[in-house]
Amino acid sequence: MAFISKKKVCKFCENKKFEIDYKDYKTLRRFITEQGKIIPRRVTGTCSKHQRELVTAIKRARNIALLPYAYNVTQN
Amino acid sequence: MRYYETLFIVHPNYEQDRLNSVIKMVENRIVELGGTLLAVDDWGKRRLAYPIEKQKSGSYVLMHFEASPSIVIELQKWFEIQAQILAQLIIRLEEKPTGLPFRIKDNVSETEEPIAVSSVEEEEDLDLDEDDYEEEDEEDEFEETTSDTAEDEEDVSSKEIV
Repeated sequence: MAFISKKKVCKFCENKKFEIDYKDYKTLRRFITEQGKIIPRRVTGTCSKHQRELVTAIKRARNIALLPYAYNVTQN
Repeated sequence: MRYYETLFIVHPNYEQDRLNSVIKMVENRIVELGGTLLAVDDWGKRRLAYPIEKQKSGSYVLMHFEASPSIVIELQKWFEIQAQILAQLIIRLEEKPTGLPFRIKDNVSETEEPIAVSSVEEEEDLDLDEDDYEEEDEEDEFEETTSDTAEDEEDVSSKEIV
């Protein structure tokens, strides 16, 4: 086959000691787009269990202004 | 009794002594409601991701406490009334919090965090994926269907039904 996709592995399964925490917004930022949207797991390769945790963490971080709901492109 | 964690933002006009008095006030309120304080951590003044009540920054304070579930709503209501508190978040912890509360170090954390080691590589990957993931997906689907029809007609039909 001409097209061979690289196998994506869940980052949180690989690194077991690392826990998903809403306060750790620096890590969470890697799972949102430039606009601030949550990146789907088919793109990041996160497993469904960790994606669920990730989503709650991102939403909590948004609630407390650690992460934005949306980046204003024109202002930045 | 359950373990809870609360993170709240104090108005940026409150500094030093006044901030400490606000923290004391919250501590007292938690004790008043029948909770036990476990840890308090002042993160200091930080930029907010978006303005709250026209403020662009605020002091974050993290607290761990043990309490019965009924006081959480009371505490939440009380938080909402306080003018000097811009935002608040109370979450339940599954286990007893151990050690010092998590703290975000603005300058150091990039190199210290275990997951950040692979960050450059990962970011590149993500960017690539983001740019052409739609295209990629289409290709994927196309390949799946073609290979399936070639090998097993039964499989395809069952897939379609599902």
